[in-house]
Amino acid sequence: MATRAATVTTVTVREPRFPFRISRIIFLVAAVIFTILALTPFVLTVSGSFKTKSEILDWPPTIIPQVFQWQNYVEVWTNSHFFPQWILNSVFLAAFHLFIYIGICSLAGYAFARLRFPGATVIFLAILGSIMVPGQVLWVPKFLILNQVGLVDNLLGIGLPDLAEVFGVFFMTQFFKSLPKELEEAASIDGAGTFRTFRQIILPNAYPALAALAILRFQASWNSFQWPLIVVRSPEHLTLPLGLASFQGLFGVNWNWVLAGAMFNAVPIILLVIFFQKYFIRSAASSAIKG
Amino acid sequence: MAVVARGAVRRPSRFRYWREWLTAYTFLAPFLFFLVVFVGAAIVLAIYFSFTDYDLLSDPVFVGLKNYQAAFQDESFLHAVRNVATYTAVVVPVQTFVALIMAAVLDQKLPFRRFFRIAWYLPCVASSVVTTLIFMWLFLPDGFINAALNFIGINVRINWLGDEATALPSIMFMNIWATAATMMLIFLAAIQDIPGPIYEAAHLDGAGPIRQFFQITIPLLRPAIFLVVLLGTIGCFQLYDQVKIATNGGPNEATLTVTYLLWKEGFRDLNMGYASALGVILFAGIFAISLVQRRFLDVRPDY
Repeated sequence: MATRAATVTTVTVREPRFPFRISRIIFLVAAVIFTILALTPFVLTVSGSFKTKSEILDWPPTIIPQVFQWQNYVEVWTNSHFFPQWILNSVFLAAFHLFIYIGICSLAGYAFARLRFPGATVIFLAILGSIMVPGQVLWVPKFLILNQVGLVDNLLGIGLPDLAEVFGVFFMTQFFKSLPKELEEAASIDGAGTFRTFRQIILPNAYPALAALAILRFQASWNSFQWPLIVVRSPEHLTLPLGLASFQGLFGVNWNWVLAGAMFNAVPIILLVIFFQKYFIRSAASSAIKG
Repeated sequence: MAVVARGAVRRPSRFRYWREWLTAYTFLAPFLFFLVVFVGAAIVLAIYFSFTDYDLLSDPVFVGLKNYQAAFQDESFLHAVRNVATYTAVVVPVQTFVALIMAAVLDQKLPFRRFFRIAWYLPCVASSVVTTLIFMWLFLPDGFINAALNFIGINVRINWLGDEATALPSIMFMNIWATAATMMLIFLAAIQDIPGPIYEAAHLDGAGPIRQFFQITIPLLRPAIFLVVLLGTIGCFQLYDQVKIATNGGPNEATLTVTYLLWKEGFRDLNMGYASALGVILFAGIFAISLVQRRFLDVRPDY
């Protein structure tokens, strides 16, 4: 509230014209209301994660915990045997995607952006068409395919099908198209083959795009819920989001643990968004292709 | 490439063509492999299994259109379709409207607008599991939502997610909260693409910011509105996470959705054939609604 009063006064000083000032105050009030609506659930979660098991269910609810229960964060880590394992699984999944998915997308994107080959248009259109198919339609067949090769209830079973996600290929194709052609022409006069040119000339120039894709992919892998839920059964193979969802069933009324556990999933993403804001903003604005 | 090829005779250039061809497919091979297996083959299998009875234990049995006929006589499926229709009819307009207002507010050169943008966007980046868990807690009879209502004088102790009448509206609220800002970013990008001179002309003609918004911004945003409505509709048709985590389709099927039914039939009851048919119907529904919306919403900008 203090910030709101402060902003209003600075605005008044800067913009003396009467009608404009009124609409500006209305806009600012709206902005503050939206901010309160967006942030309150998170603020209450942080506060709730420090309450005791009984205080968290008090009526009327307290906004600030009477005594901060730091041990909630320790207990959530130790009382459920698998919690550290879930975090490890999620880290593994994210790392697997960061390396393999980004490699695969860069290679394919380069082919679409720079190489001429028969079938390019057909394949590109087929990829475009595959966006139209909702993920849930493929749950059954993907599960049956993994079942055939013995990857059900396995982290690789979660990770492999996501490598067919087309967003990264579009993303890298667009980026490689924006690079100047002179880069490769110089290399090809020097006699470098396509692979060497790609590895030594193109990739080093693609770091910004690779970083952006890495951040977006990390978010997708770290948060992913639907497909992992289909693939994994045993508690030791769950990822963190799945574990948290099962947590709430396991512990029922221990909302303080549920909320403390949720922080382990939410905080890395929130930090990532704060530090790499522009990547998220841009990708959301271009999410037309993400479908 | 062209520089090198010009001096050469025809045969090396043909060789070069084939080599580029081969290189391209080598670059594409890893991605194409996964695409063919997990999308191409999967689509074919989904359609094939939708014509069979298959429970994972015995071989699939071809049954023709039986699964499709069964779906349209299945009370649960019809209930799910009604729920999804209600859900979409409420969420899409509200979320589009809220997102448009948010974008309009952010487009004013307000102080702290970078802070506002990121604060509003946080609900969209937290995982669906986290936001659902948070709201399950806020929606408890002793939770903050009821407390806030009591605070402003509405004395209620509703079990929001546990009551048949309020469960679906609660999930609507949750989802609008979690997705409006993504849509806002699409609007914001589109608003900032509108050529500045149009506003300058309007300003010279004496139109204030509110009038400019309704008479210039909104009409020129038609392509973005189409996109937001379409993406929103597709998202609503696929509603799953919140239902799976918070209500399991209950109470009494009040929050049952097509995707949740698909999961239940396929992976809890092992009716893989019937689940595949539900998937194909879902795809057909999404495809049809995309075509209809494309027809009714003119997507070309006017400038």
